[in-house]
Amino acid sequence: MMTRVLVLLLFPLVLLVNGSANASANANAIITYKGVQISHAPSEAQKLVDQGISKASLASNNSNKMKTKKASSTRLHMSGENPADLLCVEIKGIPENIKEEKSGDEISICRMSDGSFIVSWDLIKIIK
Amino acid sequence: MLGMRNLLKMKKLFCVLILAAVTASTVSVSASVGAGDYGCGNSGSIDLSQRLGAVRNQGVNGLCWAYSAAAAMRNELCREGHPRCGDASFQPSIPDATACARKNLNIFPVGKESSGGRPERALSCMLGKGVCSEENASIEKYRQAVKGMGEFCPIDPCASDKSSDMKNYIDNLANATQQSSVHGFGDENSDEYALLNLPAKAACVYKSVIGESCKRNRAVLREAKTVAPQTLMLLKKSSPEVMEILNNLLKSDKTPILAVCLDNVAIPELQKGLAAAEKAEKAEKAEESGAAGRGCGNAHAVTIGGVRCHNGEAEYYVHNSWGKNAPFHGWIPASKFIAASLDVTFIGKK
Repeated sequence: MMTRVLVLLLFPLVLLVNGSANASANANAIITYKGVQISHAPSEAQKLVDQGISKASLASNNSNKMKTKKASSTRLHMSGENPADLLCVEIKGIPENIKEEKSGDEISICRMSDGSFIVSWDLIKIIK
Repeated sequence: MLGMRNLLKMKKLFCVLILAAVTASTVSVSASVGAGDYGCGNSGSIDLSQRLGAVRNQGVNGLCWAYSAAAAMRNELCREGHPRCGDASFQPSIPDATACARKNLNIFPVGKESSGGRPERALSCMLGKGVCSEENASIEKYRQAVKGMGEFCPIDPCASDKSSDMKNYIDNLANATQQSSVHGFGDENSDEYALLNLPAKAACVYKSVIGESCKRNRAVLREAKTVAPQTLMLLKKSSPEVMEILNNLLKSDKTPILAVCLDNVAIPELQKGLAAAEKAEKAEKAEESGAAGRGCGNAHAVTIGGVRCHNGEAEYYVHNSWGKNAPFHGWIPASKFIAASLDVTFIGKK
């Protein structure tokens, strides 16, 4: 899973993957997996892109969050969670890492319940 | 007499005018200094980014302190000519970076994996015991092993079985799990206590899943005994002073770990992301991190891997742990983030 080879063309807004079949997304986004471009049916990730994420829905999700811990220490601790992955969790997605084979660089994606996914940082772009 | 008065009046007026002119020129000088705060100066061009290895993504873990320290440690190993320096898959492992970090830093509650900390601790761990490469000691592998052991597991192979240590674990666990206390503590026969009584088991998991697999490949810094993590506070430093510190560290082949207040990083995409993801959490986070008094709810650590001059402004290579396509990663103009600096950590001579 982690070493899945991804060749990103035109830096896709949405990447869709379902099991071993990887698919392209919208007109602005094409993904080629192992040299094959695959068309796809509308997916959760595609719907998300089409509809966008409303700020109001995020606010209501946030208000239901568990309270964060309180540290006894007064030193400045850092945590720096990836905001895009936190947003992914907010919209009920599952953050996942994909690793580029050559460079070993990781790309964060947000997987939806139907297996489709969107590059996590692209979630920020579709907030309305 | 009248002429004398007029002369005095004119003198006064002249003084006032001179004062005004001086004030104006001072203001204009300070204004131009302000605009040039992020100028290149004599920073030169240094690029150590290749030594920091692949770009990683910490995800929803609060482990920026470990990821940034692991990158800085990789630079130290490269400085000593580690044979795998050119290999992208060679990455100091995060379980090793967190292994000795105590006091509520070493717990990965499954599902809510936030755990803030300090890079000095991660550096101390790695300097003391050396590091395995992530391929042998991956954080994913460790998580899987931990999941098999129960919902929570402290990761601390250095832990002893002393009861005081155990109490610390329980207290820390209570912190990490947002509970005022962990149910079952005090009742040594309870299931909860059995579940939490894990240091020995954690050590065992670490050893069997991670420790053994990299036994022969543990990278130890040759000069580990003569160096130590050091931290400089930057809150009261001006931007040029901060840049001078970073430049000097880079010139001496160091890749400093910079703590920044994300709220003050001037990258719109990042601010949009923070606002969306953490709207309701900011205030609590500030309290949690002890940063509330400093007006910072989102403290984050990144590794600085280089400096260069671009269009008359200094740019720094920011090695972040939010994946390759994150907005606050790569060559970033100094004006976007230097003013957000909180402190800097590096490995220096003892």
